[in-house]
Amino acid sequence: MSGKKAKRKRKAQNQSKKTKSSNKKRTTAIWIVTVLIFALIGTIGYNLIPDKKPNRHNKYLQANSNKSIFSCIKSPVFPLKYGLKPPYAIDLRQNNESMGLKIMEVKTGKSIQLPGWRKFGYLGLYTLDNLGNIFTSPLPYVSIDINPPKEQNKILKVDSKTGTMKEFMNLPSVNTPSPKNPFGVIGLVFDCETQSLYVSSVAGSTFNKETGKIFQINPTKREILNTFDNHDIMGLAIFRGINGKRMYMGLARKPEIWSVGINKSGGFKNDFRFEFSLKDVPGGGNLKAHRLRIKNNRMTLKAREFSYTLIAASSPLRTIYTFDYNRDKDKWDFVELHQEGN
Amino acid sequence: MNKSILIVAILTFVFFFSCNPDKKNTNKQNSIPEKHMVLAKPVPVTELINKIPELAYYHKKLTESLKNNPPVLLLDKSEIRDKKQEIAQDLAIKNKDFIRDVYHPDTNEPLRNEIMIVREALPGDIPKNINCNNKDCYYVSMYNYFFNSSTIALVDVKNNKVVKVKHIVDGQAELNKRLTDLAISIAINSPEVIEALGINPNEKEATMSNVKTAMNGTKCERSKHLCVAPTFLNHINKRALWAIVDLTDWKLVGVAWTELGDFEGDIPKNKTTETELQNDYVMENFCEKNNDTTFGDWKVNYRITSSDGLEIFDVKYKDKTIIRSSKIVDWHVSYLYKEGVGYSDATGCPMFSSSAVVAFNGPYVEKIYNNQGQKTGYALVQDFRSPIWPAPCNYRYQSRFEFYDDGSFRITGVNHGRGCNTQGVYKPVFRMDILASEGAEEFSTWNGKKWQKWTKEKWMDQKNAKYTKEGYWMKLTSPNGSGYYIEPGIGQWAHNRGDSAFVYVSAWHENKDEGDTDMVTIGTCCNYDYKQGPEKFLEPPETLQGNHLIIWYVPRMHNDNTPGKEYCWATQVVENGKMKIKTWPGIVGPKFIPIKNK
Repeated sequence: MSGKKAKRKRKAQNQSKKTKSSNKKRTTAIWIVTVLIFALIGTIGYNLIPDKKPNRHNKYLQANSNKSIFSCIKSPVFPLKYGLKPPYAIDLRQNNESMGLKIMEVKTGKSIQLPGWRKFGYLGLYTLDNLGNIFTSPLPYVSIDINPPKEQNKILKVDSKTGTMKEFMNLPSVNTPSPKNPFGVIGLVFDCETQSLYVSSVAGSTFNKETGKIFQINPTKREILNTFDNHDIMGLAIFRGINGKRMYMGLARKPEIWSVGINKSGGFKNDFRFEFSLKDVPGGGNLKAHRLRIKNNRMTLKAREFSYTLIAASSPLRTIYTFDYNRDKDKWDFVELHQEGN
Repeated sequence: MNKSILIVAILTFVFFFSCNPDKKNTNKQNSIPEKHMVLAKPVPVTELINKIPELAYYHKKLTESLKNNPPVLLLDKSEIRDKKQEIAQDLAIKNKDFIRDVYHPDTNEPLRNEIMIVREALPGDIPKNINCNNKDCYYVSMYNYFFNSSTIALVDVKNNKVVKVKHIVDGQAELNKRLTDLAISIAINSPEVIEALGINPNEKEATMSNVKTAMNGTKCERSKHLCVAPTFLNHINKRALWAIVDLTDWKLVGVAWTELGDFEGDIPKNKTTETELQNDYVMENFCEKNNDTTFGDWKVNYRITSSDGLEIFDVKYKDKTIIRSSKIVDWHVSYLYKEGVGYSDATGCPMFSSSAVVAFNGPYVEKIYNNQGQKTGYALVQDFRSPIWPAPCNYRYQSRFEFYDDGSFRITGVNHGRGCNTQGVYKPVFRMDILASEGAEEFSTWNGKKWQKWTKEKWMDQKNAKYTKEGYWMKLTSPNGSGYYIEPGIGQWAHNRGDSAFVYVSAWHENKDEGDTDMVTIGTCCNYDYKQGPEKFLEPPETLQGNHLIIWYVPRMHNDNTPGKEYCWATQVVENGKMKIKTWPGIVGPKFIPIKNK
């Protein structure tokens, strides 16, 4: 047998082997696809069948779906231009020697304050959006000289790319802001699912009349989409429990957490409900929930003295409360509390 | 057919209505039941000790415990059920870590400590990494009244050792039985509780048998004292009472009473704490309405303002209006160690105000005595505090108005420190609208030889002042010469090292509000010169002739912590094992003496 013949024979054998092999692979693929289709149908069917124990099979979905509420949040881009490397800390501390916004490189502590970051006076809480823009608001400290009441119902935006701080929106209030209530916007949170910015404001509320609001805002169009009226709210957080997505809020007048359902478009449902009181837990007191964060089914809230005065500035003590979400009861279980810094 | 259309229409409406996102949600939370809050009037402890035998016994035991080593008031034998509890308590107080805080860390003075609970440890009490058999593992808690802290020990009574100690800052332990009983006794012996429950003192036993009593937790956030809230449900007069009792100072803080329907079992739907009680009481009684009082020939109207402290207005002496309004509009605080560092503090209502230092309680009255011990007048005083005074960078001020029987009066500001450090300069800004005449008034200063009338709006520094032999620097008069001499502080009064004041005089205008209503902070914190805010009402200077006049007065006080020479200062000391705040006030402000026409 010549070399050429031998070559052809090996080629033919190889081709035959290849054909057999590709047939085998195709069959395997068909099986895999079939199994996947059945698995998918099974999963869909399983999820469609009403379950007497809804909490268990939703465990994975719930964790995932909560992630989608905040997964789009990005860090601002501009600090890179100024030589800072992520991760960054957003420093809005209020004290005698610090006013406005600072951005700090976490690893080194190096910080920057761009021109214009002090012009709105002392600032309060903040939230980031899907582009890395920072939203914050003015918040008075000790006196209203630097933060006059009529300037306090504003949302400020720090552009992710340039770092420029500008007035983003001046929100409406039922009554004209006055020195008797020097506060306006307090809580801010961004929802990645509906791309909505939620902002709580107590502007215009008086001792006898509660006129605060939560605003749902389309940040692209600077448009108020919905309002939740007649409640003075400080901290805000969004969380999807076993019965759907809700906005959790710390009341400004009472040391209590309440919640309201959020519909698909981000509007407020008609099911405002009490969650828990900070006074009812061991060691709890009259401090109000100022900052709320929910992560991995755990709510951490920072409580401070708040009485619509500027007294809190001289009370550095903040109490941190922790609650865990109880899926079986759709409630929050108290874990612990401690003084900030302890 | 029509019926079907109607049903479809209704369903469609229901569908759209339910799907439409709520553009506006005006949900109302549960309405807050109406509460009536009363702050308790102070009762001397000795009076209570004489009235309550349990308190007398407790006081005796506590005093004895301060002499023990360690100074810990132990549970009575009547409160210990078995030998293991006794062993657990004994082992705990012998453990160095458990008794770490029983003496003052600087002075080594014994502090007031009390064992609260000794019981078998519950599974939740035992950390995972601790090996302590449940039946032999005991939980011992101790409360420290000085630090308002708790210490917990887990004691293995079988092996005679303390296996875990935990210190809880700002943590109040569960009460022992004697303190529970004591809280109820203090409450039912207080006039405010007796009145609210409708107890006839002669039939106390009978009435109390109809009252269901329960003990609830509460918090005294401001005083940082051990507080509890006995609750009383009286089904006969259908009244429910929430009383806050301070077990550190043995007193009733106040009561909140409502109808029975506002309670769920023994617990009110809206629990009350010390801060809430104080805030609501002050708001309702002194911020939302005006008050009046009389002292002999004086009739005084007063109110707590949003940011101008306590204001007295329309004050009459022998039915003649003397003061149209007087108040302290700002307290400027600066620090000499660094230029530009300080605060411009407003004082005022505890809620809904732009005040940084607020009223915790309402105004109160003090009698004034001379050196011979004779009563010469009354003072109306209002306290304003930062939440955790006298901790650093916290402040306490008072508005104090003194009314003397002879028709003179003094307008003062009191500074109890303690601020951020020992280089503080305090500058209260007084606005005084005194009536020497219904029409035009004249203002003059003594130039060493005669009274010199001011013709235009201007200011003057006290360092350039000359005084009459009586000590008068200024006078405010009517054209016929009646009115007041004004005597500044030059160190002649108690707690005064001289006012070092600036005085400003401006013309009053009916159609221009220059402080008639509440003023926001009018000046910056940190100027040391005359630029304290009132100067803006002098620019450009108007004539004073023919006008009613407003006097602005800005004294300067320097704080001092030199031992033996303290001024505008406060500190915490140990007294009977608990914390006592000791203050060295600085009091500034002028006295107005009626001019006697010859």
